[in-house]
Amino acid sequence: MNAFDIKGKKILITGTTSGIGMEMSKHFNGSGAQLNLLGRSFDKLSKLRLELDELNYFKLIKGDLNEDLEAIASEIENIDGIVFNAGVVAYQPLKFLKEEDFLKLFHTNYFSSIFLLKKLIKLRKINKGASIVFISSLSASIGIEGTLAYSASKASIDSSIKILASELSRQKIRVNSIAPGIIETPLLDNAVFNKEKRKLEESKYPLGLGCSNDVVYSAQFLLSEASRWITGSVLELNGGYKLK
Amino acid sequence: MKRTDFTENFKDILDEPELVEIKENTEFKDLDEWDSLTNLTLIAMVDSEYNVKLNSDDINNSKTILDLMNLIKFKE
Repeated sequence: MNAFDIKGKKILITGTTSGIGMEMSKHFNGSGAQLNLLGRSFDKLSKLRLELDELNYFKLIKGDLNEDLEAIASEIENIDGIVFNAGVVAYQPLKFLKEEDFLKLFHTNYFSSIFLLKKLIKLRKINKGASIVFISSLSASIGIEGTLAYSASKASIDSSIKILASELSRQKIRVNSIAPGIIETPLLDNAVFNKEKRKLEESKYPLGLGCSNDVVYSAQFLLSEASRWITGSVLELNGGYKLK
Repeated sequence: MKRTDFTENFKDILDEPELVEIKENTEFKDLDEWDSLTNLTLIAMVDSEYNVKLNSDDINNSKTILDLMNLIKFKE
């Protein structure tokens, strides 16, 4: 057996209807994993369905983790892996940081994942030896202006995986995060990323900007047996951003 | 939107508003303080005060305070 294979593993992915989550869903489906795919929009989930190979098992689950946590948890099947990918980006410098927006972002990017995980653990839906992967961000460990809420939510993830990795190690459940720098997706927020800004940012990455598959392949590695001795780690994907 | 309100709100995004005079014909990108953070703060201020979402192109295409006011009125 190939240690990097995820064929037959039952994996839950959140935030599957756009960007990295969508690419991940398609790739894992093609790799023969059995997927539970969570998204907020019925229309977008229906579009995702068209992109997937029906010969490989998958289950689409519609719901908003901020509102329907109980219902979502009950629909999720027993799983060998999770990728907590759902999240939003916001740019609000301290001076105009809105408390309501800050709390909402933290709910979406952090609390909802933690409470879903808690629920799944209590319901005993996470199999022994499972691997849990959170999508964090390079911004958690540097100081990008205007990203206080977003970066703090991601830093919370990077800190939490260590505690979760300790607590869940008795069940041989591993917990890690992936912290990518800028990934080129159609969703790159144009409020901040016009062409000039993109060029400027790109120049900070010795290997250029990342693509969705950079994250997808790392997540596959962390879900596979090849990473069986890795837990409580932040895997940084940043094209050399921190070398300078 | 009252004109004086917007200039006051604009001053609010600056660290040292007392050093400059903000008028409708002020070319805001020529201000000493103007940089990427002021740019972001302007977007956040307009969102917070007028519930209007500006993007980088909006700001690139605007020259004066009056341009910004017209843009916000248009998007409101």
